[in-house]
Amino acid sequence: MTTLCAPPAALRVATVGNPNVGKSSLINALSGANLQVGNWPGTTVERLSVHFRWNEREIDWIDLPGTYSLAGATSEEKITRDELLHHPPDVIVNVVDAANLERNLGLTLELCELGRPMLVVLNLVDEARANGVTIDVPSLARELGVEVVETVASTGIGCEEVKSALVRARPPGWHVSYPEFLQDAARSVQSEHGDASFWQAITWLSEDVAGLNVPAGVLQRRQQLEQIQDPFLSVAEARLSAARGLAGETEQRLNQGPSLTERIDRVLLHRLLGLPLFLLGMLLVFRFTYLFSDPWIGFLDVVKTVLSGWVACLHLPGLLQSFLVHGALDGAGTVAAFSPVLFLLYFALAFLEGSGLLARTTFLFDQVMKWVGLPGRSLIPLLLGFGCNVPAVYSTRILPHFSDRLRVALAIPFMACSARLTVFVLFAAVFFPRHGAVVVLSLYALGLALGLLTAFLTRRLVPAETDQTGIMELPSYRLPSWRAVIRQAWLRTRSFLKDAGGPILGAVLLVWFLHQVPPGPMDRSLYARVSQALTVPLEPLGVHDWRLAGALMPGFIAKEVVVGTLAVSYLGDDPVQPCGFLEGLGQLAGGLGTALKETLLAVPQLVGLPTLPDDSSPQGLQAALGRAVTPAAAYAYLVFLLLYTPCVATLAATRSEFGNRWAFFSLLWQLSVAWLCGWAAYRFWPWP
Amino acid sequence: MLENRKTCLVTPEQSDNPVVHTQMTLADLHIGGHGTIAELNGPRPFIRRLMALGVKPGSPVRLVRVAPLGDPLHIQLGPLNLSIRRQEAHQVTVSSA
Repeated sequence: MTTLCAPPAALRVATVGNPNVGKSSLINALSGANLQVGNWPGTTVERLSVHFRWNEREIDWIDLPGTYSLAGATSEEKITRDELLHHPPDVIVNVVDAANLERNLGLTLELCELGRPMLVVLNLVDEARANGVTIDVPSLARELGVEVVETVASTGIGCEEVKSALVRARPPGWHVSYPEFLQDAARSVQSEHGDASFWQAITWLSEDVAGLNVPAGVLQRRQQLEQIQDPFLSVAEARLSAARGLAGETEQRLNQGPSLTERIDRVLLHRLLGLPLFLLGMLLVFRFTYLFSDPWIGFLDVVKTVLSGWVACLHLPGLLQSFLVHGALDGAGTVAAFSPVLFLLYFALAFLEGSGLLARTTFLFDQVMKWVGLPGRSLIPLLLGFGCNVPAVYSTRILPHFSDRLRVALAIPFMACSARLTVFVLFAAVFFPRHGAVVVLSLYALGLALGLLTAFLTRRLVPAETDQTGIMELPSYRLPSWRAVIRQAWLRTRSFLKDAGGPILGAVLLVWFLHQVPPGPMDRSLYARVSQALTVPLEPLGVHDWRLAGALMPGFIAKEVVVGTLAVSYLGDDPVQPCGFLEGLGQLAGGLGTALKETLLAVPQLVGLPTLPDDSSPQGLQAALGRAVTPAAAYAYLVFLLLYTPCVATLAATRSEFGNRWAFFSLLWQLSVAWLCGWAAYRFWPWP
Repeated sequence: MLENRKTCLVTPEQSDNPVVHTQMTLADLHIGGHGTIAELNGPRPFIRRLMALGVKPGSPVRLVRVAPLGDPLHIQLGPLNLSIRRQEAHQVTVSSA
C-alpha cells in the first residue's frame, strides 16, 4: 500500500551571532542570485533572507541582526530576540568568530538554553589561524552536543558542509551549571509555563529585559530569590565561568607578535596622524567616486542623445516629440544619471563597514561629534553628503538610535553635494574669476557649519534613547567579500531608483508642462509666470531676473539641472538632432567604448587630490549671466541654492526613513535658513 | 526597580578576600599599561552590555591608546579590541597586574 504524504514544509533556518562575524558573507555565499533584501517591519534595520533548495529539501534561510546577548537592548538585538522567541526557527545556526571564541560563546550558551536544534558555524578560521589560534573542533562539538562546521564564508569554504548539516541539527546537550537554588527555581517555572524555554525561565528570574514580559507569579519568585542571593549576579558568574572553561579546553593560542590589525592601527589611529590620514582617506573616496562615475554619466548622456535622435526621426507632432524628448527622456536621464555616483558611494560605504574602518572613524571622531551631541559614527553620513545627499540619508542607518539618525538626516542637506558644485563653478567663473576656489570653499564651509548647527539645535527635538553607551567593538581589519559589497551597493542603488525615480520623473514632466503652456515664446509661458512670482521673495537677495529664480524649480528636482535650465532660459532650446538607427547604434558603441577607456585610464589617477572641475556650460551663458546680476547678488543666489531645499531624491529618502512629518520639517527649515543666509549675504556684502 | 540599582560584579575570589585592592579604574591606566578587570560598577543594563561585549572580572586588560582628542580609550582584552568612553571607563576598576 502506498501512502501519499505532503512534502515536508520548508525548513526555517535563522543565523544568529555577534556583529562582525561574517553572517552576511555566509548568506551571500549560500544564496547566489536569490538574496532578498528588505527591512524588518517598522524599522530601518536591513533584513536579509533567501529561499533555496538543497537535496530535495526547501530551505528558508533568514539572517538575524548581530547581537551580543539575547538580553540585549539595542533595536537590532530586540529584533533578534523577538524573532527567536515568537517565531522560533527549526534550526538555529550560530555563527561564531573563531578568533574570539570565549566572547562569542556567551551568546552560544544562551542560545543552547532555547532548546532548539542548533548548528555552530565556526567562521573566520583563516584569520584565527593567522593569529595563532586553533580550535579543537571535535572537542567543542562534543561538549556542546551540536555539530560544529568550520568555514571561511567570504570565500565560500565550508558552505556545502553547512547545508548538509542543517537537516542533522539537534538540540544541544550543553548546560551551564547554575547554583542549585536557581536551577530548581528555573525548572519549576519552566514546568508551570509549558512552552517557556529554559532561557526564558532563567531570564525571568534574574533580570528585566525590554519587551520580555515576566508573568506575575514568576516576579514574586524572583523577589524571594533576591533574599537569598542576587540571581542576576549568579547567572552572570555562572555563564562567565562556563564560557571561560569551554574556551580554555578547546582553544589553543600561540603567542605571536602584534597582529596585522594592530600594526595598521598603530598608523591609522596614531595620536597625530590619525585625523589627517582619515581626512585624506575621505578625499580619496570622493576622488574614486568622481573618477569612476564621470565616464558613465557621459555615456548615459550619449544614450539620451541617441534616443532623442531616434525619436526625432519619427517626425512626430511637435508637442508629442517635445514631451518624449524634453519630458520623458530628460526625466529618465536625470534619474539614471544618479546611479553611477550612488552605486560608487554605496560601494565605498559597504567597504568601510565591512572592513572595520567605520569603527575606527567612530573612535577618532567621537569627541568631536560629542560637541554637537552626536555619536562619532555620525561623521560618515555627514561626509557622504558632500558626495551626494541621497546615500548619506540612507547611511544614517549605521547609527543605532532614531534621534541620532534624524538629527544627522536634518543636517545632511546642508552639505554641498557634487551637483551643487556645477553651479558654483559656473558662477565663480563669471563673477569671481580670480577667487573661484575661495568662494567655493566658503560655500562648503558655510554648509558644514550650518549642518552642525542644525544637529546641535535639534538635540531637544526628539527624546534621546536611554541606554546610550559608548562602548563599541573595534573589529579586526578584513577584506569584505566583494560579492557582498557589490551586491549591497547594487541593491541599495536599485531601491533608490525605484523610490525616487517616480517623483523625479514626475517633477521633470511638471516643469516641461510649465514650459509648454501656453504655446509661444518662453517669456510668456506658465514657467515664466511662476518664475516671476518666485522672484518676489528673492528680490531682497538682489535677484531680479526671473530666469534665475525659475532655475530653482528644476533645481529642486536635481541640482545638476540648474546649469542646463539657465542655458535654455538665456540661450533658448537646443534643437534635437535626428539620427538614423544605425548611426545611433554606432554612437552608442562609441560612447560605451569611451566610457570603458576612461574608466581604465582613471585607475592610475586614483591617488591625488580632487580638483575643482572646469566650467563646462555652453558658450554665451557666462556672458548672459554676467549681465543678469551683480556679484553680491550672485553670491547670495549661490548661498540660497546651497541651502534652499534638499533635492527631490533626498526628500524622498528622508520621507521613507523618517516619515512625512520630518521630511516636511526638513524642507521648511532649509527654506528658512536659506532665505536668511542669502539675505544676510546680500545685505552685508562688503565688496563691490 | 532593580534595573537602576547600582551593582558591583566581582570575581568569586575577590568576594571572599576582604583585602581591598588598589582602587584603580580603566581610565587611570597608563598607555600600554596592563591590569586585571576587578569590578564592574553601574546600572544593570550597562554591566550587562559590558559583559556581553567581553569585559569580565578576571580578564587581563591593556590600555592600547587614547583617541587623538583624549577620549575614548582603546582597550584590549585578549583578542578583543574595544572603544570605551572615559566616563564609562571610570566605572570599571582594575587591579594592577
